[in-house]
Amino acid sequence: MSGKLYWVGYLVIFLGLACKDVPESDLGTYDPTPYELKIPTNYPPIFIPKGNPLTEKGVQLGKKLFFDPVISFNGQFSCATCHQPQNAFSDTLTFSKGIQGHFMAMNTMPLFNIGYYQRYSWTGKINTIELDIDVTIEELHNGWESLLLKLNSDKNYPALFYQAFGKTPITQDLVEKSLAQYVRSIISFETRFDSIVSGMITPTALEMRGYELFFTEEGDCFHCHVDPLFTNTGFHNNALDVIEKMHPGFESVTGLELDRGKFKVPSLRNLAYTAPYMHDGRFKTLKEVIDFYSEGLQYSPYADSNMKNLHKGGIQISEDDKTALIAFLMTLTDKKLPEKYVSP
Amino acid sequence: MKYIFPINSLALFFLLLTFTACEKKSDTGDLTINLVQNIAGKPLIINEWVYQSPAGHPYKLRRLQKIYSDFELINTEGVSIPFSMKHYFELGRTETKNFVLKNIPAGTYNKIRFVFGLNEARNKDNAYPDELDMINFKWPTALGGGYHYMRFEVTADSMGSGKIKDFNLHTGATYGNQNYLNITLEMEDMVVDGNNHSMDLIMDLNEWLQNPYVYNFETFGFGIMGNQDAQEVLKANGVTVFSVKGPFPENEFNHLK
Repeated sequence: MSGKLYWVGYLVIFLGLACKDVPESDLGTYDPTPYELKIPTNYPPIFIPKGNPLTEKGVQLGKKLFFDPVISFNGQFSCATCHQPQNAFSDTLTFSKGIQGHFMAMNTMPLFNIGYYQRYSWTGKINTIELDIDVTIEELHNGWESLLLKLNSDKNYPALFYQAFGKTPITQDLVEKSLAQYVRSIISFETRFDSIVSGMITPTALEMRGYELFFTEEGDCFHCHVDPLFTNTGFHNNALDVIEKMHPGFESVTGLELDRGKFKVPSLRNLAYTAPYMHDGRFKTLKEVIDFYSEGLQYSPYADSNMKNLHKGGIQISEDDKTALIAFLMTLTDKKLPEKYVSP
Repeated sequence: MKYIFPINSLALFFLLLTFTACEKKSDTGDLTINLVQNIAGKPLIINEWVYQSPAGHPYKLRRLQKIYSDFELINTEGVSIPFSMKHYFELGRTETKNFVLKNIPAGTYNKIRFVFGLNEARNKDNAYPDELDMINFKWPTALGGGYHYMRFEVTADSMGSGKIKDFNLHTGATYGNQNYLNITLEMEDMVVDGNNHSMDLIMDLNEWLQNPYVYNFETFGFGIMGNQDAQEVLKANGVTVFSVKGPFPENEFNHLK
């Protein structure tokens, strides 16, 4: 009898040690001070899920995690490896590069103003930022268990998570929430275009011509690239390919034929940083993109109705107008974006 | 004495039952409005060369999106019941093809009135910022701001000559001109007394292209968002675009029709 009791005692002590958390008194104080997003008045309201409001500590923690290679199983990749601040949180590769050195099928998407979207990735297959993070970390760390073990045994992270969420130990849910908070906090709006719209500066004649082309049906860019975000956050087929070469795009999510070849409309803000362009990074320069919309459209019945002069290959604008359009698009560059979000 | 409690409970139960049984049934009703479209009586088919414009262009339909707002039902005494609302319709999206006007007071109604598009009070830049359909439907600030009223997009064959071109008939407040339509339609008497109804609100797309003016695609070209002359023609033609069928009383067998 007494032998059995010893075993029970050992088991209790063992379980106690295995589940031992750092005492809450050593973790600092939970601080839910809300994070104040700086959003211009002409921007629409951002989607913040009720279950994950932005807090100062949450955003700060998410930022630390974002730049920390602890997130990858080999300690060599962080989120910022592909989502680089100097490239508007995208990279310069044609296709995203995976942790095993293989290339993905799509170009890396930039990560600013993404709190305005309700679907993520080029094909819209993911509908929350938290889920996007879940999938990415699953790949970067070969699953969550070992990452959580690493974070929970780290000398700093348990306290930082406790201060941000008032909870311990660190869970998958909390990691996703903190990273999502940081990513939602990345707002880009300080551009020459915004200064022109607010009347602070005057556009050049070339920029003004580009503006006219962009915002009238002459160039007809605005139906998909709606201001002020310069995206309608939707999915469209922009006549990149004929049927035989067409990627299913959004159809792979909805199963609807009418969604064939549709991809997420990217914001045109910060184009200067986000080359190469399109879901497969096929265009290296903005000039190539404008040439495509002017003369290179590929006919298919799935092409969007706003692909002007589809039968003639595009909007057919002059070289001068192409230059003007590029000059206007360059006014959408937020030069403060990289410096605002540098590695902590 | 010991039976008082159960007897009282029983009395209370019957009293409550009596009240429940006598509770007055609500005499309001709902009206489901089904948005039905055709082209000169033909059903809508996307991307098929089955239509002919009044000006003589064979054409195919590529897209139809539109907004209705601020419905009113008018009873036989001329009293209007307003419904402050807007409804976005997109061809191919089943969830947008009907909507319900709720809690219509008892009475007999014989007219329906609505705004096609959005009136000036509603049609402001970013008035509906959190609705994705509306973000997609924005009208550029440079062209007057607010939202589109309609996108009616076709591919036409120039008088059957084989010269194929796209034409996007987008209506809205071009440079601030209020081009929305106030439409009033007579309808069959709808007697509301706690019952629900449904009706078809029909749009004949070819009527945008005639009556009183024949709209020639070639005259106005691909895009008309900055062309108030084209908007005026469509606004004038828009008066004869709409008609109604019904209303019909809704009952449990309606779905079998």
